[in-house]
Amino acid sequence: MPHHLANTGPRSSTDMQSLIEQLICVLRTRRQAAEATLVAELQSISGYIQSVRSDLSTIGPEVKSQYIPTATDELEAISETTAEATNRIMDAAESIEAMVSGGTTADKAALTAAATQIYEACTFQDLTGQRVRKIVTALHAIEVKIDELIATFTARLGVTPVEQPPAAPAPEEDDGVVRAHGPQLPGVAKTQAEIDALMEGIG
Amino acid sequence: MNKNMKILIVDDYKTMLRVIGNLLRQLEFTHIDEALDGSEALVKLRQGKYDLVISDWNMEPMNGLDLLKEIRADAKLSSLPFIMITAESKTDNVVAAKQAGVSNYIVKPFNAETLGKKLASVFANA
Repeated sequence: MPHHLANTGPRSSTDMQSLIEQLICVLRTRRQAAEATLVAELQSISGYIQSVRSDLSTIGPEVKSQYIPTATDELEAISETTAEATNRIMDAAESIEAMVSGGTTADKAALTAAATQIYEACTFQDLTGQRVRKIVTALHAIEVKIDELIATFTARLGVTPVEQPPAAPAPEEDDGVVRAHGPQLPGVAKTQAEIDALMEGIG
Repeated sequence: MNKNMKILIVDDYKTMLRVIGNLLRQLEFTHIDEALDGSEALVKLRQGKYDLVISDWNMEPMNGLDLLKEIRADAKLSSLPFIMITAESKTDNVVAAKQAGVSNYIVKPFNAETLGKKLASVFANA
């Protein structure tokens, strides 16, 4: 209660009426301020919705029908191409290794070491393949979100409803199941030494 | 270490099966078999006798961790040495594998020396 309305002792009915009128005046002023704030908030939300609708109207169906599938196809093509290249490299390394029997001991050791290094290097294909898979999954998730946004605003925009999007990948739940995360980025991934230390530290 | 032991490699990337197989042959192991996921591996393990499993984690339909758990829960296979070779390097993954009974854990990319050392370590502790 405002200071000037504070109870300071017995009042006459005139005093009480005056107090009530003052109270009504204060409440009216407060209500007007609250209404003004509410209107301002609603105007802000309305502007935001208008902006989102405007952005959505510029997305167009090509994002879903063209850009995302193209990006996905390109990434899958990268994966297939690297797999083919890796297999050809492996063929060559195996051929080199097969020739080892004909050389001197030093030659054999050198050729075997070279073949080993080639095999080791070829593990890159598995890692790049897994990274590509993660990106493709992310693209599908983006596709689904765009579909959902467009569907939400379809009626107001007067756009033909989009097809039912495929189910989004389930978000990771805290259900005690340890899921695969795929390769970590360099600098984040643990080294073999760190893995060894972790293994040693676990009872 | 017995170079005649029968090893089952499990990975959904055929290139990786080939890489690991070649590295094992360089280490003079000759009895090497392959499977493309955990369920195919389980069928082979229950049909034949193997001395070691080397498995990836991230595979469909059965991943490497579930394969490990199936093996440890199977009375006939429970003591089979199991090495995980995977790109999964997060702590929770390593801990889960260890708790499930993995014999050793190799993070990709790896080299022949690491593979040789881990093999030696598993069979020294066996």
